[in-house]
Amino acid sequence: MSVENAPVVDVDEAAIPVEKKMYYRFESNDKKEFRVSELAIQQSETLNRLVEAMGYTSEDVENKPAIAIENIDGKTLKLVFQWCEHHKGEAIPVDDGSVPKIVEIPEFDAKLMDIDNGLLFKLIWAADYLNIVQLLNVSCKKVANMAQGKTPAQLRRVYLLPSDEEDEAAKRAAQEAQDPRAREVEEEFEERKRQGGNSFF
Amino acid sequence: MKHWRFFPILVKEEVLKNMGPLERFSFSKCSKNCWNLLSRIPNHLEYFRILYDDRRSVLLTSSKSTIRTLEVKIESDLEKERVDQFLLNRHTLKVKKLILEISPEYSEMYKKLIDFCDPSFIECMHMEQLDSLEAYKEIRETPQYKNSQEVILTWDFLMKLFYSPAWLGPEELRRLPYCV
Repeated sequence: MSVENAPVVDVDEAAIPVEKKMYYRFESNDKKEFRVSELAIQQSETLNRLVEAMGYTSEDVENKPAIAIENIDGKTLKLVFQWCEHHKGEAIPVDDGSVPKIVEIPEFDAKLMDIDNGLLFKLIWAADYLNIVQLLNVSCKKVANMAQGKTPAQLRRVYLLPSDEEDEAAKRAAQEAQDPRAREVEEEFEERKRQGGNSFF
Repeated sequence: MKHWRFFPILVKEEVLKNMGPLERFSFSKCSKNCWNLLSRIPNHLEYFRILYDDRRSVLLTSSKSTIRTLEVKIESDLEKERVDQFLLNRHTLKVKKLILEISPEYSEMYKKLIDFCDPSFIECMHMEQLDSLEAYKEIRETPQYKNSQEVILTWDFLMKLFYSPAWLGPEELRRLPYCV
């Protein structure tokens, strides 16, 4: 198990009063370990609830296994925790319902998200999964900004949007993957509806 | 963006909420699914005037959108047709202030447009060219009229109303705080 020495945490722990700064250990699905401050974790509603429910003491954090985050890989988790550490202590924004949303991307976030689209997708997915509202806001803003001044054809290429035919094919494939008995019932129901019956029974 | 298809629906909506009207319009043309997704994203518009481009109008006033000021001008058959087209199969519009500039020959359009505004949301109706007492009597019965805090008419029309059997007495004035 490798410990990721990302600039996620201050290494100089001796200089920090232990009772005020507690660091949790998390492990990505590719077994990379991260230490993240308690304050930074508060940016993620999911993780914050998780650690609250666990009620770990400082000793527990060291003695027990790292908390596994099974859906996120190390590269993405490193970005997520870097973001959380940078924005620790900041208020979590509340959606005021304004549309288009007024979201500014800070310089740090812009640099952090200067990554390829595949990793950006994973970052957004992780922000959604871990419920990190502001990270989701800025990353979605970045994706939305990609659409500026683009024609529909260009947008299809930028986002790799499926065409109507591809959507139809995906729908058919999903139907075919359904349980055969469920499909039979559905077809029977449709047939009865066509014949004018109101009730299946 | 390699994985649009695999974004959770809420993330897709977040991305679209961050897009401006032009980007949304381009996006809506990409596929039926794109259009359907966008039609669920509300807009909050300060001002809106029904456009020649019906597709764009429909997109801007998608479900749950709010419009602070909706201005409708009908001075020709073409404009009337355009407004009719816009209202066809529309959901209710959440409008705060409705400004109707409609030539007297199209007075039936007043009621039609007022009916499309959410009665619980509207605050002001502005009808400077209203000349028909019949149309006004219909409008007066609408919940939109009753819920409005301000109904703006011309002084000439108010005088016409005052000398007609349609005049309701002091109650009428309470509903009509301003004349121009």
